[in-house]
Amino acid sequence: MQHASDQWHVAILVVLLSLIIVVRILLGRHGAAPFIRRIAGLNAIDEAVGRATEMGRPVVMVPGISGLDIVTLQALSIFSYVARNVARFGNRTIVPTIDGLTTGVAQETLRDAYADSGRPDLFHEDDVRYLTDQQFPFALGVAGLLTRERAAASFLFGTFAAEALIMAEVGQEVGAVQIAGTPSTTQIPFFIAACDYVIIGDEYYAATAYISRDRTLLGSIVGQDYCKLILLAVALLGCVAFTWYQWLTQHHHAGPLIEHLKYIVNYFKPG
Amino acid sequence: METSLWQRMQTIDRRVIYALLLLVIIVPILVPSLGGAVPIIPSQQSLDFYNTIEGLAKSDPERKKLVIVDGWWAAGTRGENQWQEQAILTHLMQRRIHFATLSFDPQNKTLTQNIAQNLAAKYHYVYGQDYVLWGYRPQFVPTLKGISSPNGLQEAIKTDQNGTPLGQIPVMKDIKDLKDIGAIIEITPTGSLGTWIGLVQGKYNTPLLYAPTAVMAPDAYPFLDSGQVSGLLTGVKGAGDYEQLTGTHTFGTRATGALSLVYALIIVFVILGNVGYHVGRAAARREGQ
Amino acid sequence: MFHHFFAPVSPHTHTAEYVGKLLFGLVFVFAILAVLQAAPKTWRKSIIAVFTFLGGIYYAVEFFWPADKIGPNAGENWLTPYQPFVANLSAVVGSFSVGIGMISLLQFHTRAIARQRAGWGNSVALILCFAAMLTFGLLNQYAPHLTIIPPLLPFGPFAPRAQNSHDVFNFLYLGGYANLDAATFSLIAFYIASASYRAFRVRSWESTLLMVSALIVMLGATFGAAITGGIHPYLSPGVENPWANLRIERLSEWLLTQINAPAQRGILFGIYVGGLAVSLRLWLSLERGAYFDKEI
Repeated sequence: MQHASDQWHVAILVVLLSLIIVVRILLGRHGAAPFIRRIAGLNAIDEAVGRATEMGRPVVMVPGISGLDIVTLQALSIFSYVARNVARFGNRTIVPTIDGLTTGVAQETLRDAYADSGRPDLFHEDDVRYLTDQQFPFALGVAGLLTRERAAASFLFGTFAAEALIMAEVGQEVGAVQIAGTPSTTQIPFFIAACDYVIIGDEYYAATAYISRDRTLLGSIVGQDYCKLILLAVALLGCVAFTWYQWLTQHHHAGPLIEHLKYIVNYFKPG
Repeated sequence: METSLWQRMQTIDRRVIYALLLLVIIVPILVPSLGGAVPIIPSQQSLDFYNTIEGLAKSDPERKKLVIVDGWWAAGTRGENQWQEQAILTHLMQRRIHFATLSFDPQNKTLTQNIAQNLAAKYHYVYGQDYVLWGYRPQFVPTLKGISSPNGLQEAIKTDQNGTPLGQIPVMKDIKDLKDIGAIIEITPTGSLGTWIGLVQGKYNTPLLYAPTAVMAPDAYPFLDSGQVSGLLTGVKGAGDYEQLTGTHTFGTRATGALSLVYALIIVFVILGNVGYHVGRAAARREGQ
Repeated sequence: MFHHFFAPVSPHTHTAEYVGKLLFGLVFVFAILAVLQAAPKTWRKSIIAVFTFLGGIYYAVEFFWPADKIGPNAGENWLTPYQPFVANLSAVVGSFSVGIGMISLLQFHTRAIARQRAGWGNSVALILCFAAMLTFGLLNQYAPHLTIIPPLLPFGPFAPRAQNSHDVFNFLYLGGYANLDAATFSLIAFYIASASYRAFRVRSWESTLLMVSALIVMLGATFGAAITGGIHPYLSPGVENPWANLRIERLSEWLLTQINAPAQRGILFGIYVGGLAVSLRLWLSLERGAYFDKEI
C-alpha cells in the first residue's frame, strides 16, 4: 500500500487542500453568501418539471450505476430538490435504481420530499424500484420505463458508463426534456449529443450548493476554488521549471540553478 | 418541393439509418475481402503498447518476471474486449512471456480461460509452467492493495482458479510482490484505471497497459501523457492494430474494416443533415423574401 | 487475539466456531440497534456522526502514519495488517444490498401480478426467469451432474446425451443472458449513429468546431490515412516533412493528446477536488440539504 511517507509532497498537498475546504466551510456560515455563476442546466430543472406537469406525464430520475457512494449521494441530494418541485406541482416521480441500498435511501428521500411539500399521498413506494444490478439490463429497464410511462422529463445524475447513451437516446425518442450531470468524463460527449442540458465536471458537486444556497455548501465551493487555484499554481510552477530546465540543458548551462530545477522536475515526476 | 427535399434530408427516419448501419456492419464481416480492403495503420498508442511488451521480452531473457492480465469485461463488451485479450495473449505467448490472468467479473473468468486455453494449445503453452489463471476475485480495491504490499502478492491471491495454492505452481515460485511483475495489462469496459494507477502503478513505476472499450479510451490520454500508462489499445480498432502488429488476422481485423465503413456512413449522414439544414434555411429565406 | 477473533472461519471444518461467531454477531448487532433505538433523539445525530467518523478514520490514519522503510515489514505500518479485516467489513455491508435488491424486486412484481397492473405478464416472466436462474445456478454449483432432461430421442439436439444441470445453466446463462447482454451493448452503435446525425449541425462556431474535430478523429481512426497518404512523412532520409503534420491521423492524434487530454485533465482536477470536498463533508458530518438536515 502507498503511504504518505512514500510521497510527502502529495500528503502535504492533500492535508493543505482538505484544511482549506474545511476552514472555508466553517467560515461560510458567517458573512455574505458568495456568488455562483449561472449554471443553465440547474436553472432548467424548474422548467422541465413544469413542462412535465403540463403534459400530465411523470418525471424519471436515474441516480447512475454505482452503488451508494458519494456520487450517488450527491445525485440523491439533487433529486430531493427536484422531487419537492414535482410534489408541489402534484406530479409523479419514478426512480429506477441499480443497487438495493440506494433503493432504500431513495425511497426515504422521496417520501420526505413529498411530505415536506404537503403531498405525502402522491408518493408511492413502487415508484422507487430496484431493477437489476447489471449495467446493460439496467439500461434496458430504464429505456422500457421511459417508453412505457412516456416520461416528459428525465434527470440523469450520477456515475454512468457505456449504457448512458441508451438511456439518453430513448429519452430523446419519447420527447422528454433531459438534464444530465455526471463526473464520468467519458460520457459527457454522449449526454451533450442526446440531452438538452448537461452539468459538466465539478458543476456536479456544486449543484446542491447552487440549488439550496446553503451557506455551508457555498463555503465548500469557495474552498474548492481556492484548491483549484493552488493546483493551478503548482502546474504553472512545474511548467516554468521544466521549460527553463530544458532550455538550460539545451544551451549547456551548468550550476546550482540547473540542479535546483532538475530537483523540482524529478521530484514531481509520476512514479 | 425543394424545401420538402431539404427537410427530408434533415429528418431521415431512424429506421433507415439503422437498416443501412446494419448492412454496413454485417457485409464486411461476412465478406472478409471487403473489410480487409481498408488499410489498417496502427496508432502510436497501439505501437507503444506493442513495444512495451517487446521491451519486456528483451529486458527479461530468463523470463523471471510475470505479466498480470486483468480482465473486468464480460459478455456484454466481448465484441471489443475479447479480441483485444486474444491479440494480447497471442503476443505474450509468441514472446514466451509468463503471465497470470485475473478477473474481477465472474463471467470474465470463464471467457478468459477459454481464450487462454485455446491459444495455449496453439502455442504449446503449459499451464503452471508458462501461465496461470488466478480466477475471479470479488474485491477490487483490497486485492490491488494486497498485490502492492511487500511480499503480499501470494497472500492477496492465495490460489489459482482451481484452488491450487500459488506456492505450488512453478511459474509463481519466485513471484512475491510487485517488484516481480513486469507489466500490468488492464482489459476493461469500466473506469478502473485510476485505481490501478493510484494503488499499484506508482509504487515501482510498473508499466501499465490499458485496453478499454472505445468509449473509455479518452480517460487514458492524460495518463499516457504523464507516462503512467505506457500504451493504449482503443476498442476493436486497437485489437485490429494489434493483430496487424503480431501478424495474426482474425475477427479484430475484419471488425476494424467494418468500423471504417460505419464511420464513412455516419459522415455521409452528417453531411446530408448539414446540407439539408443550410440549403433548406436559405431556400426558406428566399421564399420568405 | 484480535486477528484470530476476526479471521474468517470455514463452516465445514470449524462448524461450532462458525455458528458461535455468527450468533455472537447477530446478538451484537441487535444489541447495538436496541441501544441506538433507546438513545434520546437529541443524541442520535451525534451517534451517527461518531460512527461515520470512525468508519473513515482507518484509511486516513493508515495512509498518514509513517511506514517502515527497511526490515521485514518494509512499506507497512502497525495498521496495515488490519486492512483485510476492514475490507471484509465493507464487503459484508455491500453484500446485504444483494438481498435487499432481491426482496425489493420480488415485492414489486408480486404486487403487480396480484393487482393485475398493466404489463403484469412481464412480471410473471421476470419471476419465472428469476426462479429458473436461481434454481439452475444453485444446482450448477452443488449438483452439476444432476440429469434434468433425459435423452428424448436417439437423434436430434438432445441425443445421444442427457442434459444435466450444468448444461441447462450454460444454456440459460451463456446462451441466453450473455448474448442478450452483448446485443444490448451493440445497440449503442445504432444510437451513436442517430445521435451524431442529429447533433452534428453547423449552427454556431462551437458546433462547427465540435463537428470538424469529431470528423477528423473518426477519419483518423479508420481510413483517413488513405486520404492523406500522399503527404510523405519525410522529405529525405532523416528530414521530416513539416506538411506531414496535416496527415489526418496526425491531426487526430494532436486533437486527442493536445486538446482533449488537457481539457480532460482540467475537468478531472475539478472533479477530484469536488470529490474531496464532498468526502470531507460526509466524513466530518458537515453535509447539508436533503436528508442530512432531517430529524432522526
